[in-house]
Amino acid sequence: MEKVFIEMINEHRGIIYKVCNLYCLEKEYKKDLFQEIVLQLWKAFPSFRNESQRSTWMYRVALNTAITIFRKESKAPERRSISDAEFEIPDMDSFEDQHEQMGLLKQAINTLTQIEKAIILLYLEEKSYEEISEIIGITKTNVGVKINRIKIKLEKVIKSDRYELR
Amino acid sequence: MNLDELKGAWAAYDDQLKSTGDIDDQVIAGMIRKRSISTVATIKKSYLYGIYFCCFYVLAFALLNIGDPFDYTRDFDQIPLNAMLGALILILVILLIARHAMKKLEVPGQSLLTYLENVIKQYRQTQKLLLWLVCTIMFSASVLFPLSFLSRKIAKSGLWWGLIDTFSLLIVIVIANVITHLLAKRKGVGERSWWSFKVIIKELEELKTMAAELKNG
Repeated sequence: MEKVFIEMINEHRGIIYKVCNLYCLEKEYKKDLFQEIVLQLWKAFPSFRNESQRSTWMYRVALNTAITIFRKESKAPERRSISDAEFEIPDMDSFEDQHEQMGLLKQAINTLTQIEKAIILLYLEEKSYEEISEIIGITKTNVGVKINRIKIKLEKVIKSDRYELR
Repeated sequence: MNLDELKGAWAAYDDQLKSTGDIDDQVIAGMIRKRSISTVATIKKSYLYGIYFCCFYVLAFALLNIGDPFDYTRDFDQIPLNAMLGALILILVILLIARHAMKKLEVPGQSLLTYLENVIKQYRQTQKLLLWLVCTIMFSASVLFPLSFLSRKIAKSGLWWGLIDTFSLLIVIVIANVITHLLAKRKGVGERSWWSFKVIIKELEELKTMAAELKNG
């Protein structure tokens, strides 16, 4: 079971990277959150019965962990942070050189609330409204309304950032 | 630039992530052997400490009842101690039930809103339990325990001096608690621990705000 789980983590590591980058700004907290998400996925793994897609299930666990039960202020003396040599989470910053829009996107997303970040992440991942509704736990109509509001908010931020850049 | 253009940037970011190397199997295996630092794990640990605390004092009070080191001559003298024992046993049972109820939160595989609501429920329960525990201990130590010596002191010194003598202990305990609380507050002790109401209230408010945001259209 452990081997299957590790393969699954590597196959979908992008999901966890994205959640960590969206919800934590500092490197050490990102690593802590990454570890916590992997641990929660491992705990939930035996009860995963393929009722939904693996990626949908992983988004649910990762977002629940990041938003609801990960406490950034908690001191975990027994947890030794993983060293950079062992493992590093690729930051959005490292791709800014390739895409200037990435910087704008990152700045805009950082202005959103925790819930809005979760919804926009799933939208950008091209999840259907039905899948987003299943992961978040709200109606499809509510998903549509929220996405429209978030789009307006992001576009306002992007336009004002662009204006400042000129 | 609109959001659809940003989708393109996101897709490129996704491609870049896919091109990163696999995480070492040993590193992942190491992660799943670590202890959780989640809220759920912290609350569970606090409940466990509470259970140990209650077990110790239940045993201590049971031994006091059996041994009778205070040489109580009348049966009703033991009522306050028995009341304290009863309250502690009740708290112990509640803590055991509450810890068992945490199982629902151990696996965050439900939808975000459902999980959020379950965690809020657990926070509220923890808040009530903590309040109940603190009030019980304060009341037991300040009122019930001194009361067990009241009849003897009245018999020895008369009604009023008996009352003053008995509750002088209460006054000392209250002053000691106030001083301890002020000193602890000054040093910031317990501000981030689960024994601080401030922490629980703050977390609860944040979670309730998020749940409200999800429910409102």
